[in-house]
Amino acid sequence: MPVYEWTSAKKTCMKHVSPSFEVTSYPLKINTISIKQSSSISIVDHINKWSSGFEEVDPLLRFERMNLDEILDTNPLEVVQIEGINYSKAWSAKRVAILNKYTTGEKLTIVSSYLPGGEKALIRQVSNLNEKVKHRLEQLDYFDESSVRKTMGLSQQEFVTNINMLNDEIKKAWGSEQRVKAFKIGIQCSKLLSDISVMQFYPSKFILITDILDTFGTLVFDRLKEKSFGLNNSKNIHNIDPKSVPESAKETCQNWMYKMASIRELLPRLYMEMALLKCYVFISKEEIKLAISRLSIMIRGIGNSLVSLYLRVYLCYTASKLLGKESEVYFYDNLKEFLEEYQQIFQTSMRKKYESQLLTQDKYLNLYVPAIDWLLLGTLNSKKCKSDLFDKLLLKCEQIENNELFLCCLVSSFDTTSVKNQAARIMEVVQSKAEKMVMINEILTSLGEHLCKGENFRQNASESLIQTWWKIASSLKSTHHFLQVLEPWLQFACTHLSTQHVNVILRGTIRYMVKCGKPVDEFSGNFQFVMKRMLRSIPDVEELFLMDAFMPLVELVQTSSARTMIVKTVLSIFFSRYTSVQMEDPIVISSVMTLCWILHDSINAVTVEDESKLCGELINKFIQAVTFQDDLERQLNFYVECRSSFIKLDTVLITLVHAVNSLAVRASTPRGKWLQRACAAYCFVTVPSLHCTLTKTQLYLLSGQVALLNNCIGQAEANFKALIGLIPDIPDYILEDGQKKLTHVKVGALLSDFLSTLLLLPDNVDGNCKAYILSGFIKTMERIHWKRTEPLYYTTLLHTLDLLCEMTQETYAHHIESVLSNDKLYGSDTEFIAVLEKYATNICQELLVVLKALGDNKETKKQYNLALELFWRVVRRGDLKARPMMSLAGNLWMLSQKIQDSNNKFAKAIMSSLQKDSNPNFRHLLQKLEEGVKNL
Amino acid sequence: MATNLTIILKRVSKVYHEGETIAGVVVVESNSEVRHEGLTLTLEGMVNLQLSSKNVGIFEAFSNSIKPINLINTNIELAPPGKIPPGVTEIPFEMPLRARQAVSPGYPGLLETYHGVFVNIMYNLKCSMKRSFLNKPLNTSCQVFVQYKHQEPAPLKPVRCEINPATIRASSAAASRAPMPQFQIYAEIDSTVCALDKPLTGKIRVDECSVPIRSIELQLVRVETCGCAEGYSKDATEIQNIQIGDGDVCRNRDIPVYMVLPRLFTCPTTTTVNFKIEFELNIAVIFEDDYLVTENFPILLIRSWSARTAEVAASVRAAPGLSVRARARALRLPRTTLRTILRADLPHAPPPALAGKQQTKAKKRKKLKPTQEVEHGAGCGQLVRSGYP
Repeated sequence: MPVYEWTSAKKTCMKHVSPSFEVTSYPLKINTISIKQSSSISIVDHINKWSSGFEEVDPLLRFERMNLDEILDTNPLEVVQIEGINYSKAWSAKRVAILNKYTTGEKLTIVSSYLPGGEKALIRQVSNLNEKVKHRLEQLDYFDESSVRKTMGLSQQEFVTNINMLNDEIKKAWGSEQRVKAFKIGIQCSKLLSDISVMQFYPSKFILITDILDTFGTLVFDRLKEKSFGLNNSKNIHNIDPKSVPESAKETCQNWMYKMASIRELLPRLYMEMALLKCYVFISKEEIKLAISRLSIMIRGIGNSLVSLYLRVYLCYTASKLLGKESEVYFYDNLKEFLEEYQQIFQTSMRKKYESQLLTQDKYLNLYVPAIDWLLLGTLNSKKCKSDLFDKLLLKCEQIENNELFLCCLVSSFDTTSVKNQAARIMEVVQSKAEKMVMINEILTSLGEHLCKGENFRQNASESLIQTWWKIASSLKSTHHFLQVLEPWLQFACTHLSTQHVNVILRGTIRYMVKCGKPVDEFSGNFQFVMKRMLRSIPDVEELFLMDAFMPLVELVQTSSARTMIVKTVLSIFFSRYTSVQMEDPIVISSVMTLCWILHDSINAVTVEDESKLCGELINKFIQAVTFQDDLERQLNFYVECRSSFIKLDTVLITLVHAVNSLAVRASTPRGKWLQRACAAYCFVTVPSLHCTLTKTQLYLLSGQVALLNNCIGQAEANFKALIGLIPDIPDYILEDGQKKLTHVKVGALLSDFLSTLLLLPDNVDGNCKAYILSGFIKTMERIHWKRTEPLYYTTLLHTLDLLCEMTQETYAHHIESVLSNDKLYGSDTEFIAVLEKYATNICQELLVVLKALGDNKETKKQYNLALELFWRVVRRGDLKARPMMSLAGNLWMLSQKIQDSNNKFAKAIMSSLQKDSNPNFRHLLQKLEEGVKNL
Repeated sequence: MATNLTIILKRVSKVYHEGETIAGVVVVESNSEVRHEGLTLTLEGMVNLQLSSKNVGIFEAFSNSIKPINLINTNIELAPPGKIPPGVTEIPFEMPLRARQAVSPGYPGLLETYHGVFVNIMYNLKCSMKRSFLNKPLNTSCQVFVQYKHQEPAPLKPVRCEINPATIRASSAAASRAPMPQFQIYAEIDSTVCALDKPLTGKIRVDECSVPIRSIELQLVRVETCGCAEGYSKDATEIQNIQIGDGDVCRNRDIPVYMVLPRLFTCPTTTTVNFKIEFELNIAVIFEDDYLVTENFPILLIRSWSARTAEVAASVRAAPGLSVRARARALRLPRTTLRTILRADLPHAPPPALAGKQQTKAKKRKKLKPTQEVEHGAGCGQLVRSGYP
């Protein structure tokens, strides 16, 4: 293979001025608008956003939705759309809430004769007539009391299954014309509700069983409707006219009512009448309202307060289904009835019962809460003037004994304005009974929530409120309760009172926590909630760090994991709410620094990658925000401190290098020279401790560039040297977000960036080698055994060729002010140029080898492109007067024409630009090329 | 059996009053032609009396008095002997419900349908198809319910009482037992004269009770008396028992007493020469330790008018000479409705009401001393240990 001697052409004058005009905005302009992630976007939103692309909804969510749809689908006619509230929706929400809240691990008991399993076989051989009669009688008795089976020791799940089985059984019996059997199942189910042996499960049991009763009621109603108006009718409860009901349907309805009225026991009778309430429509519409009033009085006969209250709930629920808005008066009636019987709840017999079931009093009272809430819901809607009603009920509350349960429900159900206006009064009530009250935490919590929601509360009033509250809260026995109460009230204090007040509360909290004697870690969950609330609600987040009680509070938690959790919340909320871009206050800086230390110290070998990533992000935010304004030295010191503190996190180090680099650029004052050096040294020292080679090379390049910019030639050279040393170690793939990614694109970009920087770097005159760094680079390239056909390889060679050609020029294309580049340094010294051209010759030779290798590998397209690229470089950068260059150009062109690709735009473009040029060399070349083509 | 015979009444409720006509169809369903010797329809009303087993020995001598009493026996021929074509044939009929005209001594007239233990009053519509010599006659029957025309509502007779350890008389079993708990209970019945189609109402209040209460119950009892002037058997049996208080109810609260009277097992309080049907109400309070305290109220059941009819009746009494139109305007009723009421309910003074009125007088005396003892656990003011029926 002939060796083509490379001769670079000297360009006379490259100075050409492009037309330009001044603009204010351009793509590279630094965007000063700092984008803050709003804190309201929770992680769930993020997840939703990500999953929105998929059609599939979260399966659990889908079930939930299906349930809701079902409720809305099945009875669109029965749903009374009234202003204010949709009771059936409210009920279904309540239903789900109850089922989720009241669960038990206790064993349950079902008493029923209709459940499969344990079915007694009554068939036996009968001999004489007497036996036969007896047997018959026994069979008749089969469904009577005597054959009722008690299934004991059921788990909650089994119980639910059994109840559902009974529900199906009702439908089955009804479908097979055994209507009395269905009726009996209904009675038996409602009898189950008199059993309060597992009280904790009672509300859920109530929901399950009322579902069955609803099923039964609907079955009866539908049959009567069918009897009256035929199979397909669009009648519903609201447009049935009793006058148009035929006699037979009325008779059937009457029969059901008589049957129901003869049920011996009170509880099933009441439940069954409620289930059949809507059937009164067939007899007389007025009857419904009379029946409801009568039932609400008859419930007085139920002695057990829990049973009777839930009975009232079911009555109000059925009433709301039938009458909608009109039913609200019954809600109020029943509430009044309940208040009359209020003291029954606290009877000693009940106390014995719940104590024997190992329930605490507050757990026991909590069983009543959803029921009272439901009664209050309707009552509240019926009244226009809520604050009057509240006033009235509160007065009642003040009068009765053991008022905590009712007070709690009142406070949580009523609207914010009413509650807020009476806040002082409520506090008074609570304070007067604080020692004995059980649900004090719930009352205070919901009161606090109301206060948080309300706006413009009077200053002095809120001060006195907080004082009273603190007196009560600080004497709470349970730390859990204390923290629970603290949460909303702290928010209230944050929004309504001065920082001093909040600080006092925080100090008190620390005292309380220390005094309670238990390690704070037990309550770290609650503690975290409190922190969150406070951080979110305080008007100025920075103020928090200025309080002397805040940091001790954070450090109250001892275990590192719990503490890390808290620190993480504090920091993430802090940064999401932090409004200014920069952090200046030294106290804040040192506090946040402490938090970051804690965060950093939590990272160890077993920390999950995501976890450390999150920590890294938080710390990065901190580093980026801190500024000491013009005191650059302090800034650098800060960075030094950071490096020593956060050495475990690569991302932090990267950020630090970037930060220091930008600091170095900022330090342009004459006396900043040593600082620039220091910065360069900092970077040079920091980079090696990173793990990823590619990042290291990138940072070396950047640091070198910055050093070069600051005329720190030695440092720049050191960086570049280190970079070159790393090139062989760059892996082909790197792991990014768990996926393998090819590095060659990045490496290509990096190398070309590096090469263009080299143009500016003045040579090390002390060394005996010209173009010291570049030669080092070329040697390294030779040393790496890259595959010849790899595009990365030959593109890099081409770029090196470009650089070599450019370096031979008398004046370089660009300069850095104050940096003496090689053109000035050597002044086109022949020795220097000879060295460069020798390298160019070698590279050109190598490229020809690559061309051949490509041809051998039949990679025609690559070969064609490379040939043209090289041709172009020869033509543009080479001196065509030299013979070898001319013949090389000709040969390359011939090669490209030989393996001509269908897509020869590139060749045509080259040709046309050559033809336009007036340089005599090109004319000559063109002539030669044409000849060559003809000879082909 | 190829041939089916059924009676279908026009009125779904099957309830008829005296003087009305029972209308309906007899449906003959057959695959082939039916040849018959005549189709007849019979309405038969009977009172069946039965003596309770414990009295049988003594009363066998009076066997004549327990023969069933015939109340009505009307016979009509639906079709003369002939053929009925295959398929479904409906033969309409109308039969008047009227008491026998020639009154024998002791004939009570048409009584209300009643199903009891020792007394049963039933009306049956029987259809029979006589067939040729070799075939058995085909029979079918259908019960109809007879109700009195509405009686005039008697004035409300409220009754109230207090129950406490001083007012009750301990039953012999309980006398030897441990001391009685302290209690004070107040009970009130809105009226001891009750309309059959209206619920029985009242209230009960536990003012004080030293032991927990387990249950408060209402027991409806029938007292059936069979026999004649020389001697009789009297039996009290429970009709239904309804719980009105469950568990230890709240003190000082009025608990409503509310009982819907069962349809089949009750009838207006009846007194005839051969038998009597009377009713009583027991209020029972059962304590946690199975103590049972009962209070007994004799009640008078009547078939009363609806409120509207009562209003019409009052107006007729006050101004007998008013024209239908004027009365309709005064009562704000449609004229047709008014006519129906006048024709159906108020043609003349309802004859069975007399018996009821006499009864009230007889009962009044009893009410004055409510601590009278009645056998069979229905005794008032009894304290019985764990023995409530």
